Amino acid sequence: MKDSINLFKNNLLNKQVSNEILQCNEITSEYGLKLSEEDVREIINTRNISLQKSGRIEFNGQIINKIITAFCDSPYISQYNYSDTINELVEIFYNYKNETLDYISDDELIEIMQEKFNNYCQGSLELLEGKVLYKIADNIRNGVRDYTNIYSEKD
Amino acid sequence: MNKGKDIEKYGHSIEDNFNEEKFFNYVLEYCYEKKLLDESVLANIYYERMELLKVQLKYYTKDESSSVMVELAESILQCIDYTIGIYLKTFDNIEGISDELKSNRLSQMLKQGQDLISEKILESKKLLGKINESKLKVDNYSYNDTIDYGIPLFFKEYNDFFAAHEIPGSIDYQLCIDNMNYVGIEYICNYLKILSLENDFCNNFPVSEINKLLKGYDKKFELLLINIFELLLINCLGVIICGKDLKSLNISSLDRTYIKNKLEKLSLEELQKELLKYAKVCWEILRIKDKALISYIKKSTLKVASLINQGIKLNRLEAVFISFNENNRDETIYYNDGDMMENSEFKKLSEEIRDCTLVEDKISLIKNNIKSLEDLIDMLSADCLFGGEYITYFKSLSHMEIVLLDKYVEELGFENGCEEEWYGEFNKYIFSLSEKERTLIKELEERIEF
Repeated sequence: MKDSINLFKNNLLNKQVSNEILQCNEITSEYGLKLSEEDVREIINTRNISLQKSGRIEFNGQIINKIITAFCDSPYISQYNYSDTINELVEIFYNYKNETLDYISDDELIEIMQEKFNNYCQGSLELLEGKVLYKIADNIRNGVRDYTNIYSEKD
Repeated sequence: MNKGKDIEKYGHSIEDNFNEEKFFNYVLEYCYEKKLLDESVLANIYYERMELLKVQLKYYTKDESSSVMVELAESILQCIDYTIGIYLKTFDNIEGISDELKSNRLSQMLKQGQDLISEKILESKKLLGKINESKLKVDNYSYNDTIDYGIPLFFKEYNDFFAAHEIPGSIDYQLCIDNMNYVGIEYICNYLKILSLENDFCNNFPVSEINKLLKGYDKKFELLLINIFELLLINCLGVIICGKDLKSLNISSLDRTYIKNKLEKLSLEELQKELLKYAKVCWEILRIKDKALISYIKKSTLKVASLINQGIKLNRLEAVFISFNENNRDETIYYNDGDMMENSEFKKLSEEIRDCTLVEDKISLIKNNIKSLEDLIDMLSADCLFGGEYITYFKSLSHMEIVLLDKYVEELGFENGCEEEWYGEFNKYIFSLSEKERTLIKELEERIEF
């Protein structure tokens, strides 16, 4: 059955996604950030591996673009760590789509990641993944209404 | 139940592996093998199918998420295949299906399949209404629970848009012949059609007769997963074989001997033919005109023929042709325990008993003051009697008191009972009784309910 679902592994579609990501360079160049074709291939590869690891399937290739446009104005990202950070963020995103039980939308998760990365975590991906998102996922699983509050105590 | 008809429709070669659930996938494979569809059409269908999946997933996630778990995508794809399959089943032959696949878009077929599912839901709800009206007044838990809660739950939980191939709800009652090949609304619709037929048949008999038959089958028939129609049909056939009137469905042991003598020399095929003749007599006597019901009776008769055949071979026809329990030997005895004593009262009494020197005095104190089994067990465990005194006390009890005590200890979870001195003595006493007395005790115990 798994073989019968092949929504996105088509080379033609990969090329299309790759072009879309490269087009983001126009927006990010304002912040001195640019991805090479090699970087894009790596990011797409990371996405494919992350999807496989998290047992998910994607039917729309917009996530990478959304992550890039959300994070490009971060003061903690420079050309030096740009590609690596995007790679890590993509991996974290899919992992926490599962961990948050699909309770929050893509846009909301990216927004939370961006806000916490720029403020609470001060650019630390370890803190974002290991503490902030871990706590938020825990809040969601425990039915905490204000789940983005990482200081909340369990009832 | 329509399987036979469907198979004829799609040609002999489909018959062996015909799959109701994955009809669409099956048809694609079949058409490809028979060269009714070429690779380019199949590739196009595959592409459209994936596009449909994307659209359905967008609906499912309300366009808020661009990825889902693989299991979910698989389930929604199954739903799409199932819904298209329902539409394709409306064609009369495989050529019609392949033409449709070549000329029409899958999204259109999906829409038509969804409409058909909605019609089937309505039809099934009507059938459930009819079943509620013709429902038998019997105390079988699975029968009542399936009709009252299990199937209404299906309609409440059924999601025809994203999970049309699933069967939520809880269906415990087993039909005589059920087609487990169906899934989703097709299964429920088929189940309800058959259940309605079974009810129609059973309603030809007074409910008192049906209840007697079920009690004869097992005194705990309420809890069993049985099919009422099947039991009724077998006894009907038995009554007709014996040339008796269908007003009473009781089959006596003499009748069974007669049936055995009449049928034992027949092979299974001959037996099936013979039973079909009796089944025909049965529907004629009952003036059954419904062709679907007649066809179901025929199929069920063929099924029960093998049961009867086995019963004859094993000489166990009493488990197949059921006798009513006309006497009260098996009636349940309900025991209500008396009031328990207050703690202070109990303490005083136990001290009094301990102070007695003669066992006869102890016994009379116990008999005059203790009115509940729980108090009696407490007293026996409270070191009021010693050694041989226990046996003397047990001997003074009536037969029914012994039965109650034994049953209470065994069934109501007398914890750590085996470590108590009195329990050992009680067992010794029971084993000192004759075999016949012990059997009587066990028989009575089975009829008692606390």
